[in-house]
Amino acid sequence: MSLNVTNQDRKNVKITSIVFGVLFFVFTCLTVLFAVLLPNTEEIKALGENNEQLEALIEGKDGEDYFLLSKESSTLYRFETDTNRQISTFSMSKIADKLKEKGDYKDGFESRLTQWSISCIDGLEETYFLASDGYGDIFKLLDDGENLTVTDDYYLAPEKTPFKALDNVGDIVYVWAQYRGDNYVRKYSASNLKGGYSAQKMLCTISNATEGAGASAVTYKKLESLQKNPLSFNATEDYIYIFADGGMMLKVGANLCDAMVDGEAVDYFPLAQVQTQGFDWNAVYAQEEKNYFLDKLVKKLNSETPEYTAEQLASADVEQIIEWYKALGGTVRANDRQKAKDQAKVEADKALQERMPWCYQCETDSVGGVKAILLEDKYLDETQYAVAKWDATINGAIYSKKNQTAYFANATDGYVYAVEKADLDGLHNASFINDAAKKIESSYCGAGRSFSSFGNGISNNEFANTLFIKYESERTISILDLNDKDNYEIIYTYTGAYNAYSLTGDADNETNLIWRRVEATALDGTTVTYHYLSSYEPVLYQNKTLTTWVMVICLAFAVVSGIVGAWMLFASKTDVGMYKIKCIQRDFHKNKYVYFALVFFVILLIMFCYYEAVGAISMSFFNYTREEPTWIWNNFGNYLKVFQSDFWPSVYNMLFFLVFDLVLGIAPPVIFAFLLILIRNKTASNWIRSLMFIPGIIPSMASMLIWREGIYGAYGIFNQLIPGDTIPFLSNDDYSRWSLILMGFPFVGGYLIFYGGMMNIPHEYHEAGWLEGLGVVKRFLLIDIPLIMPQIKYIFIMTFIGSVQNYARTYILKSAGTTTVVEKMYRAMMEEANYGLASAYATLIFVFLFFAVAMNFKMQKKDTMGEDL
Amino acid sequence: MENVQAQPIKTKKSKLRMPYETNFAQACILTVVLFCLIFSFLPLFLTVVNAFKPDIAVQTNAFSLPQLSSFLQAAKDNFSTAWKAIGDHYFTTIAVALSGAIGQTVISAVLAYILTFKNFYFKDAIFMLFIAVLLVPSIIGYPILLPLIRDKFGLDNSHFGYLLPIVGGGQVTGMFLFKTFFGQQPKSLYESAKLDGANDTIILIKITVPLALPIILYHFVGCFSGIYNEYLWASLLLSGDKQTLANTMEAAVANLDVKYGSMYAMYLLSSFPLIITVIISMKYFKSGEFAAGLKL
Repeated sequence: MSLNVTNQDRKNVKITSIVFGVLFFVFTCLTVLFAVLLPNTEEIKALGENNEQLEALIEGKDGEDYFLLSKESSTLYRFETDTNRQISTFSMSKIADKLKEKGDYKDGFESRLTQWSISCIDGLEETYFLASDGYGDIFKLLDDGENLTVTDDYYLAPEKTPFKALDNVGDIVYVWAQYRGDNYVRKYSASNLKGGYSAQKMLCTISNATEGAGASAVTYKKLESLQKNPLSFNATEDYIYIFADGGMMLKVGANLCDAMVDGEAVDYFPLAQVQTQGFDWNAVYAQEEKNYFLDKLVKKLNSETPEYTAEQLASADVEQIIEWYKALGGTVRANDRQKAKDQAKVEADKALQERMPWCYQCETDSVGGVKAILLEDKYLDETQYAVAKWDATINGAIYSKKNQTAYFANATDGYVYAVEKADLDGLHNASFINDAAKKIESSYCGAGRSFSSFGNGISNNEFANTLFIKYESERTISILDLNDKDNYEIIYTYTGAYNAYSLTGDADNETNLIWRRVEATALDGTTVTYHYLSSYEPVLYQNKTLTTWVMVICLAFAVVSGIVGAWMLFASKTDVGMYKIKCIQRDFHKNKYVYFALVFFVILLIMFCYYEAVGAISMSFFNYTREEPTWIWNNFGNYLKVFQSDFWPSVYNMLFFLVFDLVLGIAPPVIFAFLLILIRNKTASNWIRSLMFIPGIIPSMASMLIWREGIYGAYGIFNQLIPGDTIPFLSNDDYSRWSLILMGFPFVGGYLIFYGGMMNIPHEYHEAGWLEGLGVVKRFLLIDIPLIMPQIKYIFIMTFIGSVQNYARTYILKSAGTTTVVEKMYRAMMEEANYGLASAYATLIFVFLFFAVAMNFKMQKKDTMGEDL
Repeated sequence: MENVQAQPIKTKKSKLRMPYETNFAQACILTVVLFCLIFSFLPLFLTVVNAFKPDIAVQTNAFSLPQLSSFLQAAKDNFSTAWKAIGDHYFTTIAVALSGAIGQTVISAVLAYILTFKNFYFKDAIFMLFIAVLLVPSIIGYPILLPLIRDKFGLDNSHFGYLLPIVGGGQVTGMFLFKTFFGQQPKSLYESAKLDGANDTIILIKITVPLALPIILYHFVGCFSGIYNEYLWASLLLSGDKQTLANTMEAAVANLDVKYGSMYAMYLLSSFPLIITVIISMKYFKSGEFAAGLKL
């Protein structure tokens, strides 16, 4: 191929540049296409602007919209699921207005409006939401499709019982409350909170049977499981399931609650004390006792003229009646009193039995109106009431009403287990849920990862019938498809940059919503919480990594072809440019295999050097920690933090060690090498050089530990040799710096390179020098040192870089007051896991080293101009 | 041409008697040199002596020699405790360091060969691309490297993931070193080899590598002990039974699993793999010739 430029060449180059232009266009289009195809993690609303705490994601009816609750401002934000557009807001303060309007408002009511528990109830003609506040009051909110309005139907709790969760089966609403370590299950009528069941107030209250009166009698019924943290609360038509921490499950038959009618609240259940609210046993007893004597009195009164009015008789107590009876001439013997008491007890118990048919052994209590009762056998049936548990660590549990199956995230082996309702119902007290559980083989999420936090969050998207499982510091989620019972499948796994807190999805199975909460530290040290709601398209996410890579490659091709095409077009205009183009063309043709081979090395280089350097510098401007790997711009917060945290002392330490390292890394070895050169006896010199290798067999870590423990330590040789108290060589600020400097005495380890350099200095130089009258010292300074300058420079730069990066010396030796910049970086990375901060330190070190080394190279270039590298 | 470097040494001894060649001066020089030599041996001396002593003897006088009476028992106790602390990690670490060193040396050598003997248009640009990395301290990349290896590649706690950046990022130093030495090899050899029809692979294996064997071994030995001693990257990526020796030793000392005598026994055990590197060093580098061509 000749290098003469012909018109044909020009034409060819033009065509080639057009081809590159077309390639550029095609790849740009492809990049855009893939960028569009990339599943977008749409940020729906960053509610962080008001710094509001969002605590819940509530699904609307049929998943058409969803709500986000800000507890701080007691506001409910309503979004449309399809568009993620905010439709309306609802302020909880409207509830207080409603109470004022109805005259039920009490002072301090606002303080109740903080801890909200909200749930959409379905199965009714209209859509309602039930909202309960931090006190246990319950309100019904009517949903007209756009706005919520407070209805007149509400229930105000007589005592504080904050609600945890709501679940409904048609009209019956079960509420789960926790207060002072007790758990309660209560029942309401959704259609009529005030007038329905709620007229009788709490229908069924189940609480922990704590040690004490009543409970201790029947220990096997103790609900110890519920003293743990509850995971999930699920009501079905025949059972209520409560899943608790540690894999406990409490199963309560719904008819057990039905049994308790007419306003009795059972505090300890099933062997429990009854606070008989509509029924005062003592009153009945007193009445019956009074009636015994009243009958007698009335008999007497009938025979005489009436002396007492009906009101008087009704309000009088038993003693008064007896007095009146005696006044009329009646006699009351001691056994009459006893007879009255016995009869009253029988009657009162009979009345109690009528009111509470499920109670068959009732005992009076000294306190008025409180009784210990035992339920009838049929209610104690284990099929109705059971506590079962897992023989494994269960982090998450949820019940899907659609599938009638409970799902458990087992942190012991990293699998999800499914238990069908029939199997749950068959569980008895103290039976193991493991026996009924079916392992979902495809759900394994532990590959190469720790699954100790597996399933810390688990959530069910009923519409799409998927299960969300969170694990690994809560930033990885997997979505399990539950549609096919025989073939469960993980649809996708995503390690997100945010903590996933709450998960839901819409009806058409295309979008899954993930609510993520991020906590970041602001400049002034306060914690700012950002909230993001993202929609993910699970189908696309399966290929997200691939799509990203293809996009990046297309982008790279687009950039390369764009640059090459533009350059060719530009260069072809001049003869010099054409010449260059021809040269390069010929070169590519000739050396195609070389370039091909180099691609491998360059990829390694970019992946493990350039990517890191560029990434670290970029990362230093963002909030990024192991727990919260977010790329949130923090206005140089990392750098401010660096400069606020004793930065200058660490710079001082760094420079201190740098100066000594440079001096001690060059001067003693050079002198030692020179002395070796001076040794006349070559055998001795040979032996010494051989022996000098031997200390090198000790690994550097061992060597540092020897200095720390064996030499400077409390029982180290220095403290053994120096009598008196133990000298804290490393933990005392006065000594530590010098102790570290002294490490490695006599500092001659790196002599070999200098020795090699000196040995190659021609002997004639020395002779000539001697003849000129140079002594040994002058020869050393004027001949040897200048001639081994390349070696000295090499060691200088290597020591410089090594010293600035040497975190191990101060870190491993645990010395006090010697923190260097790089050690701070190491601690930021290892101990705080704050990669953004560590990157800021790294960037500062890089800038320092870059300027130092670049200056050095520049100075050197002047010296060695014309020589090859 | 290869004799050029060695030539001055082999020239006949000068007839001139330098002032430092008097017996007195030589004695002084030898004293200083031996002093340095002895102090360089201090950590090794402590290790060897104390590994065979019971704890109480180490605490009272670290310099005392092992007593014959307690020697066997102390050695047995110390080494069994030490082996319990690091035994599980011992051979894995050697294997990891060995494979890392081989990978890094081979890659560096091939790259240096290409950049030395191949002439192509973008050679200087590509060389600068590699050399620029030397200005970037390796430590700054870890906050990015860790998520890359652990999360993106899914190689958490794996030795392969551990070695990837060591080999991939370490090629530059080796390439730079090798290129300096490859460039000093006689061109005539290569020309005649090419005339005889040798291709690049054969030239690399049969000419370049044998000629530069000392410096290649130097780099290999350096790589081996570098990876063997590596602490930071291993502490970031590896944990549990995958952990390397340096971190295991540090943890064993910190947790007081090993104390006094057994601590030194542990150091001694960890030194054995480096004996081979020292032997190689003694054979090839004693003369210091390899450093003669060193330029930056």
